Amino acid sequence: MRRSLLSLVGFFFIALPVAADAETVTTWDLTEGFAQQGWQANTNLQMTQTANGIRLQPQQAEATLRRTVNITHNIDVLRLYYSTPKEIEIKALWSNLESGVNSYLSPILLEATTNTKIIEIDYTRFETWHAHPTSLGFWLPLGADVTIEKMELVGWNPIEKLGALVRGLWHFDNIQPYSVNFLWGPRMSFHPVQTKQMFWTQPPGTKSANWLMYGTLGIGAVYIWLRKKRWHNFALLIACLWVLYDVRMGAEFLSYTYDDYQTYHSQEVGTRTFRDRRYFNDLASVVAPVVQNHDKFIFVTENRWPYLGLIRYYTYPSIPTHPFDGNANVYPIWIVYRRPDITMNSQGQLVSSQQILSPPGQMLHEFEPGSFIFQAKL
Amino acid sequence: MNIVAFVIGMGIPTLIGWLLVRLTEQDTPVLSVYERWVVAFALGITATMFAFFVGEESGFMQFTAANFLLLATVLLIGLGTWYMRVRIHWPKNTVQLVKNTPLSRKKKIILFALGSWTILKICNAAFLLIASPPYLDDVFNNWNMRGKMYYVTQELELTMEIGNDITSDAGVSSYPPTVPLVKTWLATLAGNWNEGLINAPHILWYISVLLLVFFFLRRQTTFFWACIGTYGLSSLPIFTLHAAHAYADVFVAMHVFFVVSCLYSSIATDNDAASVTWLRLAGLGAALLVFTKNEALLLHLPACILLFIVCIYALQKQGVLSRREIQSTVVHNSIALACVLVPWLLFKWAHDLPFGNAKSVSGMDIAWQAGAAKAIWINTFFEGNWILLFPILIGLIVTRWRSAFFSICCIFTAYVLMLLLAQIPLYLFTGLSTEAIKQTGLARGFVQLAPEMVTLVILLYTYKPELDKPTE
Repeated sequence: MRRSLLSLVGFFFIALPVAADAETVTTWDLTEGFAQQGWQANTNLQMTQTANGIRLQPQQAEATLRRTVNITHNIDVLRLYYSTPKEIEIKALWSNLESGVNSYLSPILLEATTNTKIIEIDYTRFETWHAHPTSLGFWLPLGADVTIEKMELVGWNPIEKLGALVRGLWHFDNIQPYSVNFLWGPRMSFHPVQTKQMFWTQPPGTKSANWLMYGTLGIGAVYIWLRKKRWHNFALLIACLWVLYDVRMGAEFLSYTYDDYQTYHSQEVGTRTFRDRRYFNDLASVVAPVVQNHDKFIFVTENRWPYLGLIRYYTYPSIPTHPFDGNANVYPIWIVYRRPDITMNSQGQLVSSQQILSPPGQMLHEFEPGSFIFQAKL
Repeated sequence: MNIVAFVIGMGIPTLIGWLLVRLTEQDTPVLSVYERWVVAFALGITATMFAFFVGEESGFMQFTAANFLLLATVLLIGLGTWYMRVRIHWPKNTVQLVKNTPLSRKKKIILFALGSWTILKICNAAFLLIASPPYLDDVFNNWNMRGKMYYVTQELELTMEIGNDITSDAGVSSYPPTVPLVKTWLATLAGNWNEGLINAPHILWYISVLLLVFFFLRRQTTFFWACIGTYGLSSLPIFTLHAAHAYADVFVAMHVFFVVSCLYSSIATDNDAASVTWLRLAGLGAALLVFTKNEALLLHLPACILLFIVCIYALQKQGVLSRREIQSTVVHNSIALACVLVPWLLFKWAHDLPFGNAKSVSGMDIAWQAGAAKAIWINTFFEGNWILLFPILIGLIVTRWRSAFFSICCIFTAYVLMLLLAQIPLYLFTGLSTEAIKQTGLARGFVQLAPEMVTLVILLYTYKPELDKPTE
């Protein structure tokens, strides 16, 4: 009994099917033969065949483009190869036999790019998704200029999904400001794209793997009750699950240290970054002695949190303040972080969108464009 | 220099704590030698920082190295002299442990594996804590920030400049200054503000609470189950993560566990005189608990006082305590509590500081808060915070309800349920629901209860009703 219990737990959490990332792919190549592929579009959608794919430009109004799907394998993910000169938000649309209704995906943000870029859209995140849609396509807003080179419709079979599930349990979150308040823990994902995108949204788009744990306990309890086994075996099952979960979470904690070591502790100042704060901690350390003889200094940044509190901690008793209400003519030191819109003009003044922000002065140190130490001559 | 400062900075309060604890035990020592040093460290830090607080607020000192060391020396000399005068009449330690059965080879392997894994995680947490730059909000906005303020200004500065010409006169300054003062003390001794140095005590507090749980369980059950309980606590993911960050919830958990375990021990012991000692130690712990975080005053202290009254009543009914002993214990604990509570309350009222966690709890509307129940459900059962702790705890309380409510285990059961039932309605029916919905305060409140919950699991699982105590 104990051996079979341990084997059951071990299978779910340790055994890894050999097929790693195997997938079934159907490719729609839009670099040629677009007209023969059966695409249907609004009359106001201008479609131009180019060497890089089909260029889509809605005219006068938003437009849709779709085609019928005749694929036997299930579709879980769309890999879209595209290019667009400016960032644009489009939507994917599909219909399926059961509902017969057009469904719009949550918006897809296409980043501006000169070369072909790939975006992976996980259809399985959405409740209305059907693994065998009857048609697929896109909605494009007026003003869009998108070239689609290729579409890969990707699916995985149940065995591959089981393997992805087991591997996904060992996909770790990064340490975040919320980690001291809660930890997401292991999540269930059923294909590699879902695993990769697991913590891209808050909360994660995948269910907690605690369901597996409770399910295992439920099955174990029923088995023990039906077979009239000792309940001591149930305690043993709990202990095994507990230790496995501890190993999983302990490994995540070790990964925090590993990531920190790779990006911060093993790197030189100037190249190292610390988690999502990039080099701000080093910047604040450099700034502290510069402002130490000043009661206050001007601090301008892209977002107030967490940078205001963090730099205040480093520079205390010198306190950061804003440039408004005449402060720019009182406090000479400016610390600017990630504000590429703020530059120095030929008179030595800081300007943003042609608005003068400071008296003339000099740049003491530049960390990168938009991040620097400036001293005004007052 | 930082290492020297750390050794002195931790050593002196530990010595002060040792004297306090030993003077509280008097002629009936109940703690083992090593346990007493752990308790001394845990309580001595708080007691010493309280003394610094009183010294500064009384106008006798600023936060300079000379003043710190002078006051600490006065305390050591005073307590030490008192101890030397009375100790000649006191016997040596007589601590009773549950008889151990030899460990099987399988159990030795299990303990070795789990112990090694635990040590690795603690080392990992220590590295994250000491080697990392400040990252979390409450580190650079509260605990470390206030410590630095006191270090720079050399006084208990309450007005915090937020930046952008905004100041806060209350807010986080309403918290007891214990944890920030520890950082001020270490930085002052070292002569510089070093992140690793001032964060290091947090990992010692984490180790201390693990050791307190181990020593307590070792008195109640065998070495194997004491280790399992300690491992269980150390394996809770959110509890371990707090070891790696300079927050104060593990610090509070350490104090709370000491008080509750003393109350339990007062009932569990066979020695009547030892019961009195345990109650006095609980009083000392409860007094210092006030000076940890605001929720210690609002939530933990009332529960501790209630349990203290229950213990007194039970011991009196069993004929363990005489009327005189009850009076003496109540007076002793009341004086100890008053010595900390009165100055702290006067300070809060004098500076118009709120009693809630950086916000006032009075004047809150009572109404059902949508989303709070779901948030509590998910945070407790469907995230990576607690593994199976809550299902196991609930399962044991239900299936072993007689032991949970009608045996000595009821001390821990009562405390856990009181605190859960005190916190959860606040999230469900008041504006504090944002702490649950945004998950900013919910799990951290449970972190303070984690040692009690894990201990209760072990006690209930090993409890033998026919023997009326836990065994193997």
